[in-house]
Amino acid sequence: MRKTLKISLAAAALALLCSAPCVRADNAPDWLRAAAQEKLPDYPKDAVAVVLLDEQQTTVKDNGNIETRHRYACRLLRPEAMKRFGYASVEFDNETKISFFRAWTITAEGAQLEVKDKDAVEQSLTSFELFSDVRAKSLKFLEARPGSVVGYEVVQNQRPQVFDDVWAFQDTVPVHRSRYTLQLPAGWEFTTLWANHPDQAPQSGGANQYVWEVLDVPAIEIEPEMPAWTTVAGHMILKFFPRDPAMRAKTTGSWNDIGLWYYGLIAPRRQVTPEIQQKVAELTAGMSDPLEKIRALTTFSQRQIRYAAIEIGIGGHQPHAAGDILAHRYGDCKDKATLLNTMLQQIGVESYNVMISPRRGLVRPGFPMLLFGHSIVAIRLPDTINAPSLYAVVNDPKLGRLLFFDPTSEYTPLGYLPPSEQANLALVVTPKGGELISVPLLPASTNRLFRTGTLSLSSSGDLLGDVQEVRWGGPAVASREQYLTATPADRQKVLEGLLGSSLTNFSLTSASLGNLEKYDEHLVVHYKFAVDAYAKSAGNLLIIRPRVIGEKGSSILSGKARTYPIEFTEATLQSDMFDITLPAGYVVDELPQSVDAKCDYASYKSNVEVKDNVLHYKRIYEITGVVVPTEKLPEVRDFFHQVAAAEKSSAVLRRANP
Amino acid sequence: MNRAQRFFCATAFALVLVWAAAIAPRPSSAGDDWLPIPPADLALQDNPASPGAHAMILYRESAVNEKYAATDGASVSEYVRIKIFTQEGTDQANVEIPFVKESSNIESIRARTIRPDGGIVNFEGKPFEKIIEKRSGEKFLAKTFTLPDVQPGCIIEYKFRRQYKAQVLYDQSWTLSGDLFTREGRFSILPYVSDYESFPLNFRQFGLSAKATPERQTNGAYALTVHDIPGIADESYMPPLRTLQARVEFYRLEQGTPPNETQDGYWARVEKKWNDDLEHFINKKSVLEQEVSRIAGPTDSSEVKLRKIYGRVQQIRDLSMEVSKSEKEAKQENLKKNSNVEDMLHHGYGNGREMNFLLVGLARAAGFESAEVFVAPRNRNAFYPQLRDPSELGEDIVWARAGSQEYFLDPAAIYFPFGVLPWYETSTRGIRLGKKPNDFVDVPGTLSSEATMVRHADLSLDADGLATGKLTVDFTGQQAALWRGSTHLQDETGRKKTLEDDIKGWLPSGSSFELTKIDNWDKTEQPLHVQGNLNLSSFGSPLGRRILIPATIFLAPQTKAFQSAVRHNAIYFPFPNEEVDDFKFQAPAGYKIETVPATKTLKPGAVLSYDISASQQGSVAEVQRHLVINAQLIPIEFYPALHSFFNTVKSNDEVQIILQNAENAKN
Repeated sequence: MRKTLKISLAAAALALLCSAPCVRADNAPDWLRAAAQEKLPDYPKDAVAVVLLDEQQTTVKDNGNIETRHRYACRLLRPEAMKRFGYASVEFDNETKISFFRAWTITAEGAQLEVKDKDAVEQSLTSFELFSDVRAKSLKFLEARPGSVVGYEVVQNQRPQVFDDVWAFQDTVPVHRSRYTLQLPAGWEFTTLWANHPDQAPQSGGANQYVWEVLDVPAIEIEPEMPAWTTVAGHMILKFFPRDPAMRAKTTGSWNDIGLWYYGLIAPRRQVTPEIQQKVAELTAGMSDPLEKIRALTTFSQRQIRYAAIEIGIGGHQPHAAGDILAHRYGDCKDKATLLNTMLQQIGVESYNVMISPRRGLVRPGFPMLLFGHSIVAIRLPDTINAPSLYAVVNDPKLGRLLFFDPTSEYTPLGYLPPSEQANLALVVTPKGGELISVPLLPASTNRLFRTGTLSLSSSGDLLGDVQEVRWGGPAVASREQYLTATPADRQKVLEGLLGSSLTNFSLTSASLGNLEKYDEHLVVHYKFAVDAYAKSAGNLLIIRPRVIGEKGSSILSGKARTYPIEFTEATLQSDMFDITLPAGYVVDELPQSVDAKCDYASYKSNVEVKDNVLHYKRIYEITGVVVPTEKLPEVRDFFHQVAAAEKSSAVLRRANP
Repeated sequence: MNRAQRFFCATAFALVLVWAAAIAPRPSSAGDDWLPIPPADLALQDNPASPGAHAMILYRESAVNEKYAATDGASVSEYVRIKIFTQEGTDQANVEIPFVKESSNIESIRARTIRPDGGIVNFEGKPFEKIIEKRSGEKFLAKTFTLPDVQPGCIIEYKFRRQYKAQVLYDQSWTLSGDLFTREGRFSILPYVSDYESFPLNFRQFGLSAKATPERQTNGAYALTVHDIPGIADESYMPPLRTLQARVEFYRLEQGTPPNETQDGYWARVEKKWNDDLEHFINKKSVLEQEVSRIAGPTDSSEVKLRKIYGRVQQIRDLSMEVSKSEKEAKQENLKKNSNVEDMLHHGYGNGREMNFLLVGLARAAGFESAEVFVAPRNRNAFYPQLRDPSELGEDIVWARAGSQEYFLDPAAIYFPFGVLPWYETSTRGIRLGKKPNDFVDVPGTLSSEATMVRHADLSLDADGLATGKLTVDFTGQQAALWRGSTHLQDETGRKKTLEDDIKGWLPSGSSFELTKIDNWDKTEQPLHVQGNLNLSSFGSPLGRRILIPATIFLAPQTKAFQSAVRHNAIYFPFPNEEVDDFKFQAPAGYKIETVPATKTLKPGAVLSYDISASQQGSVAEVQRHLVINAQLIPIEFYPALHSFFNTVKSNDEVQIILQNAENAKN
């Protein structure tokens, strides 16, 4: 077994332990001791921890600075709690500095232990960014074990870009008590919106002090294909309004206000430089068709500007200068959008930066707030453009025909949008302010997979197949990403992986990819394969599954009853047609019945018939809506049961002369 | 981890320079010359030696200079030139160079992009300093930057100097293989030389031909040039990464090492030091004898006696298996040091090594021959005595002999019963202490029958194809111990959930499994027994008067891993193992069994075998399946056979049992 220490190091460590004096007792603060004494309701046996107290005190100062004091107490119920609740972790950056940070443990035996800021570990919190000044400080709770109560208190001084906040009081573990206290300067106002929880009026805690409290909030249980859990969890959104009109620019009173504030950040970054002019001229040289020009510029921003995010302070919101982005050939989503806007302007096409959240459902139309996190572009289409292949178009009464485009989504062509941005709300930022627009769900017919195969079965059950798949829209984007991120040498692995979910004991005999790097064209995958013993022999019978390739199964069939909605990836229309020549000397004994399953969000039809010794299999699968509310879950579950059964169904062939 | 992290990891052990600080001259300033760009490299469209790559390293240079280690600190100058072939390859332009602030800094970063047309764009920005982790007294940082104007066809290059603090010599190593192909790499090291004391530099190499070895230069430096080092592809069931990486490691011998020491002399000296520690720790003969007399009876056979001793040692609290403690927590618990076995028995705790020492002491006190054996953990690396690298021997076990029977034991592996070693301590080499010098031993491997997973399912079908019933799984040997070990920090609810989730992963989609019972969790000598309820919706396919059901209910994980005909690495199974399955299917009322699959046996060689057979008794069909993997490392040239074997296994797992409506059958 692993011995973590070498002999010499082990000896040194033990020497240290041996020489250690007894540690004096620490005192946990009163609020933590009080929380530890709280009488709790019964929790499910598998609950790993319960949040005893999650309290935030937000004190807004008249100069707009904010001090937040966060107190958190949690009782650890099971060893698994250590992974998430064994540490106190606080995010901060240059605008949200930590002035106080301590953590305590009250063990099951009653001992009280303290750790201070100096014991903290600091780490960068970069995930997709190349660099960001957001970091986390973490304190490890001492002796944190089942039965222990752990807690921490942190004070942060913030200089916010906007006056808003989110009180998220529901978690993936039960929360016994969560409290939010807002202290405003005289003359300031606030407004709130409750999400996934009944509205609650504040209690007054003193002059200009408001207190909200919720008790015994159940845990969110993560389910497959549910929306992002934070969008279904209970939370309250707050906005503060300063007394000083000069500071109102930082207030998100309306979508228009947010748009104006954001336009103020991006406008200086859209300065045209000679290099930009030259690049636009170069990219559009010889083109007269405005759509062709637009396509040249969108393709450039999408594929020639490498994604690399560098975000420091206001850089989390404000893009870099368009000229710099072009010179460096890299940037994040808002950089790419800004450069594209600037370039489009050079060909006389108006376009806007658009803020959107990749988490559908987070933005509430009636409560303007900066909850986006991603930037794309809305291109105002000239009247001369009327291309039917541009699907992501919204006719806005004020702004005209807007074509939405995401230059960060590397494989999504002009005319389409990534699935998470469809059926979503987007804030279009114009010089006159912001306008919240509903981005439609692209119809199923725009996201197609059309698969046809000519196959032949031998009397020993071996199958030879020649299949062509044509994809466009979402299915093409997903496949392109898989093939292009693999090296050409490994693309066979990608295809074999896809076929492997349907076939066994097969070998690819040839394969080709058409239009792989022509994102605006259909992706065509053509392959031939041989499958040993595809049809299973049983006495004088051969059993063959006519649905040779492709699975439409869903993970929602597994597990217990659901609580939350289902969110499908996208609307899609997929069809398969296979013609299988049957071996001579065999007759059909039984064929699967036709299936015609449907629910409000999807449909599935399959049919098998035999003519002139050829088995013809056809099916059509369509998803038409992407968010299924909870009341429709049984219907959808039943639908997928029918799909699963239909996909497994086989035909039985019998030797004519046994 | 990006390329830079993999190549430029700082080394661990330092040698403090006490002398010679005063007289060493200062280093000259580093030049800023870039190498010329051959037009052929600019025009390169692909890597002819490894077609289809997203990028390749055209040239890499790493020059260690220890000459001024005493005054200004040693330094390593790095230079990397990369050709970008595809848009996906442009990710190489994001560079992150980690370093430990307390010992080093990254200086003089220069970088540039050479466009396909030969135009040059210099990196003019300031690299960011990213905090990887900062804690009291330690800062793990990274310099990070991204190159400008990078597109397919470009060449990017960058260089920097890792500057170490003065008066400390760090062991240096060159890891020559990473994820990208390297066309040419030049490496050199100019060792520190002192007028007052000798610090001779030694090296060992791995994964390179004998010809490709660092050569001594006239100025005292060592230099190595390599060509066409392939990238390492990431694949499942691949050997441990470290065994695939070509590398050269430099080291200095401890002070007092005899000059011109032979390999045998080296290991004899190292082994003696380790053995002295052992002997010192167990030098309490009367205490050990007294303990043995309490544990074992005079009539016990040798093996029973040894088993009892092993069991006694496993009762000791193993501190190595516990969550690591902070300094304050350790103080709080105030654990006393174990100076010897008497302390250990008195305290009732110890670390893993001390537990093994105790077993050696008790075994000897009981009359066995016994010794500590340091072995290479083969999940990480192998042991090559000629490399003189004690760090390869990262694990220790106990050897004991009773009569002609030899035992290899590891009581510190607390979830492994007597006679079962963790798999990475089997089929490996090590050195046995004390018996004789240079006593290199091969720890035997295990048999597939010592790591089995035995599954019984008793299922009833309904006319719609729903299958429900009981499933029991018994894990033995490695399989059981690994489960017990991997969940030892969980409670019963957590263990249940972990096992339940894992078993769900074996099942076709749409299935559910509710685990109802786990037996023998603490009885490590017994199989770990799991049982629960299965619900397989749409398991059977109704078809007119028939229902078709697959012969097996589980998906074999290897079949997915080996379904592609393309493979880059050898195949590595951690340990031999077997799956033994017995499934019973009760036909729905009114149905009879029409056919069951024919028996199938596959045995393509000595190391793999598969049998499946089915029988019927009334309305019950029974399927028995046996898969044996009796291999550890299978060379890449045998991959086609392995690929074919597992494809055939999957195909036979999917053969169908046919049920027929009894009324129709009569007709």
